[in-house]
Amino acid sequence: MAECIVLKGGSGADLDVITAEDPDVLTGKVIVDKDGNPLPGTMANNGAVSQALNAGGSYTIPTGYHNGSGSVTANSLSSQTSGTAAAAQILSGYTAWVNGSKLTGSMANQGAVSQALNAGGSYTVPAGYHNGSGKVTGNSLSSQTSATAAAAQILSGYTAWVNGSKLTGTATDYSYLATGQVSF
Amino acid sequence: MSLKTDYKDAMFDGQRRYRLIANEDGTYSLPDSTTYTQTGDKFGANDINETNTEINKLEAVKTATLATASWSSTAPYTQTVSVTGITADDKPIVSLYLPDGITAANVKLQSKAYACVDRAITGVGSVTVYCYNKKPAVDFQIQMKGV
Repeated sequence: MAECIVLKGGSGADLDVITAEDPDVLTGKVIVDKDGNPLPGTMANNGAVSQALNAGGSYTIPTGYHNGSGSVTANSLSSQTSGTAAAAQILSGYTAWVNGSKLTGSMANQGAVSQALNAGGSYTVPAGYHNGSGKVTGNSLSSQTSATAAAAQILSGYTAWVNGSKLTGTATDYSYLATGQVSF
Repeated sequence: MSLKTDYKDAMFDGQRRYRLIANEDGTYSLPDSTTYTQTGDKFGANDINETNTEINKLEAVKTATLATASWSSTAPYTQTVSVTGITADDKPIVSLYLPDGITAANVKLQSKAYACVDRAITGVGSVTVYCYNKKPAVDFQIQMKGV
């Protein structure tokens, strides 16, 4: 037996196994297609793509090659929760985010505060939250002008409030008489 | 095969010398009576025939068809084809043979098939072809120069 000299045409590679097409090859690079022809790539080279996202935001990653140095970052919570409230401005039992911090409210929940006032009285409304159902009412004038006089017991020319009613006096004024005088 | 490559000239001093002998039929013979300092080699018909045979082999091209169905079933895939006149000493140059009128598509197919060929070994009247990795998918022909 003797070894023959086998001449090879080309590399002998099976080009039919090639599946890449031009979109699969980076722009600027060239491969060989199934027919052995040069095939320039068309895949976009995006390099390092970076993007900052707010909560709930989205970023569509562009088609093509990314070199692995790009990044998508979430913006800080502080930058997304800008606010002015402190704990005292937030209802007790509730929480809220302000400038990146979670605050627990300390504002008192007064619910429905009610108060009845007499004339001239006052009521200091307590600090905190009021649910809108409370009310300050004035006591009735009748309750504040409890009296027994009738118009006849009120000097004519004068008025007075009796049991919520304004009475005009009808009593004659005999004050000009001397003490003990019983006739004219 | 190897041809003789150590032929030597006859060497002697002065002139060749021949003895003149009268034969009974009236003819004369001239046997060589030279004293040689080196005996020369004879170069006769056998020698030139061997030489010419080898030259003819160098010029000769033979073809053989490698059929798809004739490859062995496992790697290395082998196939032995008959080649008239080839000997186990021959070391031909083997290449793909494309017949006249072949289409471009078949050129591609047969080139791919031939690309599978890694080795060829001569035997007496045959050549065994080896494909170590992939089995050819179509029939193709090889040509052998030097057999």
